[in-house]
Amino acid sequence: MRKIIFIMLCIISLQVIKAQESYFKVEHFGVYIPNKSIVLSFPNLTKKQIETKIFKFINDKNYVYKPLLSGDSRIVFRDFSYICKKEKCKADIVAKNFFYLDYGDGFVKISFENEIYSSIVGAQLLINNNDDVASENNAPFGIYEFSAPYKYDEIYPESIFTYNKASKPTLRNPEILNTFLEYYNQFIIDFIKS
Amino acid sequence: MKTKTVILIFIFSSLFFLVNAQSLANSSSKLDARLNKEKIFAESQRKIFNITSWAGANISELINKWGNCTKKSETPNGYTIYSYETRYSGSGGNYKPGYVVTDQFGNVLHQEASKDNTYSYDFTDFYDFYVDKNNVIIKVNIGTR
Repeated sequence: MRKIIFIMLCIISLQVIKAQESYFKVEHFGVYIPNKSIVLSFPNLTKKQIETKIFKFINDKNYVYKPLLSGDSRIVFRDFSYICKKEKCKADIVAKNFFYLDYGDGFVKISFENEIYSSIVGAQLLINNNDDVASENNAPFGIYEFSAPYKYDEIYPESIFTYNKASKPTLRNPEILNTFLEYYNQFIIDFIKS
Repeated sequence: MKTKTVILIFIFSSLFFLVNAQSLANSSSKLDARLNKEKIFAESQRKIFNITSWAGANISELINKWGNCTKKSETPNGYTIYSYETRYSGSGGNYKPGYVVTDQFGNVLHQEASKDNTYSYDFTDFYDFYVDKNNVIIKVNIGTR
């Protein structure tokens, strides 16, 4: 009996640790950073060195630097990429992300904004220099619904959540939720490694 | 007895097909609704996209095509805003005053309240092009003010 309890405790604590690993959280209204920003510490780097590290990261990853949004201690870049394709997530899901990196001696504080699109007909999305999105031949696409509208579950198969009769959001696609978390966490992991 | 059973089976199977067909039709119309909504979204995004795709071009190319801007201003961080504005204003409708009809003793025989259907509007559609020191358009804002 004690052995079973011990194993169960181990499993629970492993899951807690795993859950804490994520820098982001996904809920029925969207994806967000729990404390609004992620603070990364680089005690051996000066402000100038961190700036160099950020610009190298942007160039290496082909992100788009946004000078109009950037300032003395802030660098902003935009990314536009697939979170997931139809074969895996039942629709093509594409994110437009703006990452705001505020930095100083020894630290970077990361916050972000995003707009996520989905298409069940394989629309090829385009983005211009003004960060506006359209589709090739105006193929249908829309803003991604994290929660399928009530009674429309079957036509929003890519939604992570659905609403039950009591209008409470219910998780129905945990694998898509994990894909979202992996996708967003990768930005932070890549930046730390860069 | 056998005939009755056959009829019952037939009725139940028909009902099943009807319910199934109804469900498929509902699903199909819901899907059509989603696709229709997303088609409208795609088309409205395209309109914005086509105009804002001037970002990245030289401002002289825009001026050659659109003519001179209606307003030019500077931002504190050194960008120039070239604005193309179109003002729409006007008024219409009519005002019907109310009236009261009385007899010689002051009794009200008929009365009508005034009716005011007048309206006026005044707004400006704008396209703001933010231009950097190299004369490159780096941001386009569209809206109404």
